[in-house]
Amino acid sequence: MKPEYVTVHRSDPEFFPLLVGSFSEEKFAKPVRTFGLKTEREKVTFQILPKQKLRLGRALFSWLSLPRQVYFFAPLLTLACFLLTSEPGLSVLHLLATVFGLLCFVISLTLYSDYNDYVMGVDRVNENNFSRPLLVGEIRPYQALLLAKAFLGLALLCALAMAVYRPLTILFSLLAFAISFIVFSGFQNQKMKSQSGWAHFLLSGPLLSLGLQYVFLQKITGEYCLLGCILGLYGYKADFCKNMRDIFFNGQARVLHLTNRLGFDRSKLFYSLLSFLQMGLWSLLLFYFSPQFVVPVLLLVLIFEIYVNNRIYYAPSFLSSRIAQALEIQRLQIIAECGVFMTLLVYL
Amino acid sequence: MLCATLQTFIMIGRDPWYRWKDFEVEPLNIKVYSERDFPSYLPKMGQLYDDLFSGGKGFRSVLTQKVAGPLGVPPQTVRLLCQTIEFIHNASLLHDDLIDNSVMRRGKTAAWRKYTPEYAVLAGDYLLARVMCNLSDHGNLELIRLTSQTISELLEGEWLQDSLVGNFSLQFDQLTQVHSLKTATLFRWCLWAPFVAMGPPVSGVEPLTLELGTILGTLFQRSDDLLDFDVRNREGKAVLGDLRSGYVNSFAAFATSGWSPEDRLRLKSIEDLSGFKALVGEAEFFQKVSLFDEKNENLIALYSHHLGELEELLSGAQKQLIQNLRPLADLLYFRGEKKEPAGEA
Repeated sequence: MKPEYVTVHRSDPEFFPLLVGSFSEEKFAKPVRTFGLKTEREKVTFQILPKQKLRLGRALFSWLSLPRQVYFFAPLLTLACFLLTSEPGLSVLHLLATVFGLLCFVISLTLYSDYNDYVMGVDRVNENNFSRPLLVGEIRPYQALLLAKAFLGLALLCALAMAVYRPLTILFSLLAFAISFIVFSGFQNQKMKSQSGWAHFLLSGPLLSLGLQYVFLQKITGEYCLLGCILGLYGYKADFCKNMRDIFFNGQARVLHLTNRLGFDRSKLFYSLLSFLQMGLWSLLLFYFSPQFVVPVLLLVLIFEIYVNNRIYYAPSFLSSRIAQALEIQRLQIIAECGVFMTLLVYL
Repeated sequence: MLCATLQTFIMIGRDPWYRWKDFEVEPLNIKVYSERDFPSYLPKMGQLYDDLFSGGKGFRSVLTQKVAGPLGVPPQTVRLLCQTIEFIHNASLLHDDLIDNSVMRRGKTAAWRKYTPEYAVLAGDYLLARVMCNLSDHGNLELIRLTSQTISELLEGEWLQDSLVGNFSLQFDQLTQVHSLKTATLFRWCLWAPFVAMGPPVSGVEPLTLELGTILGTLFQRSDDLLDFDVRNREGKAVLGDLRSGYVNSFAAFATSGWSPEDRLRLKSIEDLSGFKALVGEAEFFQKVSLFDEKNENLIALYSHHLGELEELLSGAQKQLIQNLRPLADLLYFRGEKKEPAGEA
């Protein structure tokens, strides 16, 4: 059957219903070409597909799956473990409620970010994002927005419940929400999107660790801050690596991440510096907790860092599969290193 | 005045327009010699260009004419446009052959082998320099800007493609990015340059024309990649040259999508087409060709859709342009053999 295409200007009334998928119950409009992105002349060509092409389950799995969320799940679990082992009298129920609320918040953030990028068209020109559920038609955009609101609602409920237990929860929740809204929502122009690395660092690192410690223990200590920085660096490095892969598209979309400013070759050196920094921070933390484990743990960290840096360093261009391999190993790295640290915490 | 001073002649085959019904067309030769363009005091230069330009189909200059005609572009400007695109294309061929260590070009020994690598590089550079000189003389600044941008994109595509040699894990979508720069940029120029030569057209024409050029270039490249696997290979082109050189072309990437990196590495040891078919599976190979064709048929349908949009923006005699362009996507991709890949049992 011959494919059906329709081209619509952004200013046309049928544009938004086509874009978000609310124009028909039997059909779905998949954007295949965008002209004049972010100009008043923007128009999009959609391919009209029958409804059975939608795959809601796969879309949900993609958003909830570990590869997508590991840079938040792993730090969150590590910090929760750290709290429990350092303060045995801690309320497990409240901690679980906090963890659940934070997970819902991150999933909601992912959904909102994907939805906004899709509507604004940034994802439509970056072919590395073609596997994302909205772009491949696994779920309609308006359904994604509904899911985002549902998860945000759950997160808010948990935050309110925790606020009764610890009023300071409100402060940290507002801070996290503000950072997420500024960087990841479509409200701001794409200039703030270039700060996504710092947002990842803060949200999965120091803000998370200090927030949890202050809410539950009502104090802030150096080792929590240090641990937060280490955990946040995983997210920052992963974001940096993705931006190396997307350097061409980000340049075209005029979202100038640090990788665009440094260039592909200097970005490789910068990544190595980040690796050295993280190893240095791990050394400090381990010396504080258990000097006898410094060498074996650092050895594990070193093996991963050598492998990832090797992949990145010898990637001839942003199209190289070595970048994708580095991204996969980074996921294994955070799971392995956080796992080892949690084991140490329990053992000690 | 330019014609009077230049010792220029254009040899055109039996029919100046491409015979679309028969893909085997009389080659369109554009040979431009003058002391100004190719100084006779430079040894072997004339001979090198004679070898290079003869034997080519001149498809890109024909495509340019297909657009320029209905737009009413003056003949002198048409010649300039055709010369420009052929110079750029052939400059890239001179450099390509050296980069790829290709021994033959258009049935003859490649320039870098017959003469020297230095002469091949310089000859390519000289063609690009002449393009800029000729366009500057013409005086259309927008055309100069467009051509400079096109050459930049072409070189970016070449650079990126060179970085992909030996990468057997290359994904199909990644190659599309490279082809958009390397191959499609010249097709975009062929469709858009005549509009630029005539002055700014109606708003909305440019993005559509560029998109049509991108689709044609992509289809052309993918069809060429199929030749490497002896699919619709009426020209008798050498088979599996890309893979043996360590380059995974679009069909190879498509056929092996979803494979593990270890399985992909087995492509490295493939010596001939039967080896590739054995690796993929004989029946699976032809199934992949069908799926590849289906994917590109969607692209051809998109091309037709955009042609319809472009037709609404053109007026009067310009609409003939649509009729000229309509059969191209199908012709470029299927090469006159729709849905019957060569070699299928």
